[in-house]
Amino acid sequence: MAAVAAWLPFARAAAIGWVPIAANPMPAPPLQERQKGEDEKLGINVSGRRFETWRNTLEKYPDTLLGSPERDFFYDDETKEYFFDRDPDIFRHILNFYRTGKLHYPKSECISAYDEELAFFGIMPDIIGDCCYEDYKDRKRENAERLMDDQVSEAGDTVQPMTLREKMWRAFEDPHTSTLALVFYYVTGFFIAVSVMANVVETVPCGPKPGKTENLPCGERYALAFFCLDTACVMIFTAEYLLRLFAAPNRCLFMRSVMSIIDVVAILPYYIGLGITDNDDVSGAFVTLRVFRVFRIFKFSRHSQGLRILGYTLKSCASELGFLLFSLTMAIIIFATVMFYAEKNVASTKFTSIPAAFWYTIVTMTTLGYGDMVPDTWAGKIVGGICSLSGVLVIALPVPVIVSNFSRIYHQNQRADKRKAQKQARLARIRIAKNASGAHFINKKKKEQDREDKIKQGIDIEEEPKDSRFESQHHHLLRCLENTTGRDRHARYIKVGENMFNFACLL
Amino acid sequence: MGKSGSKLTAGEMKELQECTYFDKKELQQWHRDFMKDCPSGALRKEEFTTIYKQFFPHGDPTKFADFVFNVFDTNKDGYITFKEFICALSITSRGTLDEKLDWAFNLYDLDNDGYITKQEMLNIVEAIYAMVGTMLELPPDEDTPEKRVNKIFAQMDKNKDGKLTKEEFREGSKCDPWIVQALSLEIPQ
Repeated sequence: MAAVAAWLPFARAAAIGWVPIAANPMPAPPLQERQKGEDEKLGINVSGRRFETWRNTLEKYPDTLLGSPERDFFYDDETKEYFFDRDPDIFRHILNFYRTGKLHYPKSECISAYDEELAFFGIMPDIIGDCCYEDYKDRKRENAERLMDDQVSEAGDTVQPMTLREKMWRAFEDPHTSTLALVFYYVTGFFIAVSVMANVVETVPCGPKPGKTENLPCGERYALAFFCLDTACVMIFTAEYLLRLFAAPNRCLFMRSVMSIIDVVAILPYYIGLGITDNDDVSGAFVTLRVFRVFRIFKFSRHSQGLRILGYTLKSCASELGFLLFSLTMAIIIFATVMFYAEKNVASTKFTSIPAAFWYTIVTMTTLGYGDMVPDTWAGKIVGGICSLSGVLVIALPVPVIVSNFSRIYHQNQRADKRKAQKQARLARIRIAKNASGAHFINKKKKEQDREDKIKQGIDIEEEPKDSRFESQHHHLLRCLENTTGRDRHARYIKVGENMFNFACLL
Repeated sequence: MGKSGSKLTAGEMKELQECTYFDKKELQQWHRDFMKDCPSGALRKEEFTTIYKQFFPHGDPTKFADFVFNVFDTNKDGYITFKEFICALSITSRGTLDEKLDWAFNLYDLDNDGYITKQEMLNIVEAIYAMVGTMLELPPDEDTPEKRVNKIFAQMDKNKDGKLTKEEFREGSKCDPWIVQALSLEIPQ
């Protein structure tokens, strides 16, 4: 049946039949409706602070809580005002919205508290006026980022991985989940270090091979040993890469990620080297390939968060870096040109062409000053001086931006971890303190009793969203029924022992 | 059975305006609600009981709804038309004290013989008790319906014949101040 509220007068009408046989006097019907049309002042009590406004002011926006009949739910009959148990400071702004039509966001309030109040009073945040909207959006974005960090870190803890694949992936991503993951983490780290060290030591001169006079680098003297070491490392790296590929939830995405490219670049030279035989034509290429082995050092970025942050910072500061590069290039070209033309006429000058002067300009601007190219003419010396002074300036400008970016991201990361640990400790402390108090026990007992009372009083939850006047009248109807039959008398027997005599007389 | 018009005809409207205390707008609103929930134009006993059940979910209002249905259905054809409905509603919500008491008398007089016997009243009281439901268990020795009915009869039955006539009922009720008060309050729409 639709619109149950519409049938209430009908049910109430038939209640006439109860009256003659009623055992107790009927309760008075609930408040009559106020006259519509005449404006009147409404009192709104928000947690003790009183606000007053005209009814028409509130009804300007009928799709909000205060402008619609929903507010009657909060009407307090005894004090004849509306009572809201909310924050009075924020309510001030909400009431101003009704008065002026513009919603302002106070900078001193917490963004999530403000949002909650707006949601409670049924006001959309998009109505915020232009004067405060930027600020609101910025704060909201910051808050959302912070929440997302928390969520990500929390989600990592709570989810239970099911399949072997998921378990492996989790072990790879976060080594602290199990001891096996930790062992794996350290082993790979060790082998990366060993591999890099081997690459470095290979080139150190070790002394001549027995029976020869040449001073050979270690790599050629102990060629077999180094080859075995290299093979072992590459085996480990290949195994690791294949395991990661197997465990990855999205393989295509994984293969395109930076870390996996680094992995591939680290192990490919070895395999290519196996394929190429040692002849002169391709030995040049072979040597180049060996250079790529140094990329193994980037595998450390999985092990060090600082390194990852550095990489991330550089990526996010791409525009600043680009600006730095561009301005440097401009300056280099200008100064190199001027230097060249200034030093052109000097005999046996090092400044043979403008590109040759580039080297001088770079060395001077970065204040290195090797001294392999030095101006002779006084014009050249003046230009050189200006060049070095301006170099300092040009480099110093974008650097603070990059530094602040790095600092922000680094601290954000630190904060996420710290906050997680703090939160857990805090929650544990709160839980202990709460359960130890006596008030907790009494509260539980009272809740049970309230629930029984509520069931006796009438429907509590399912008719709630409808017009509250209907609800109050419905309850009144049910109370009349109880009074007709004297059912409430029994309850009063339990509660008020001394008045038993009075109620017995009523019958 | 075709759908009787969703709007009242002018003749019907005039007739209803004369015999009820509602004005045109209220009549139209009630008619609209009535037709929405009862497209056939006549309310049957089951639908009536369903409406009642929604208001008193904790008990069993079937018996009482039964009695009320009989009072609403003035021509006793098993259907409540909109006219019967709105007339009954008009009396119970806006009628004079006498009209309301007459209506209550009709409610109690189950067999329509013009007299209320103790048994009839007891039936009504039991039906009302059934509506309250099993929210509370009264101790078994408390035989309240009987005692109450006896008390009422003692008060109202002037000639002590064990039956109440309409006049006895009306006069007896008027003597009781808070019955008068409860019945004369205008029920808001």
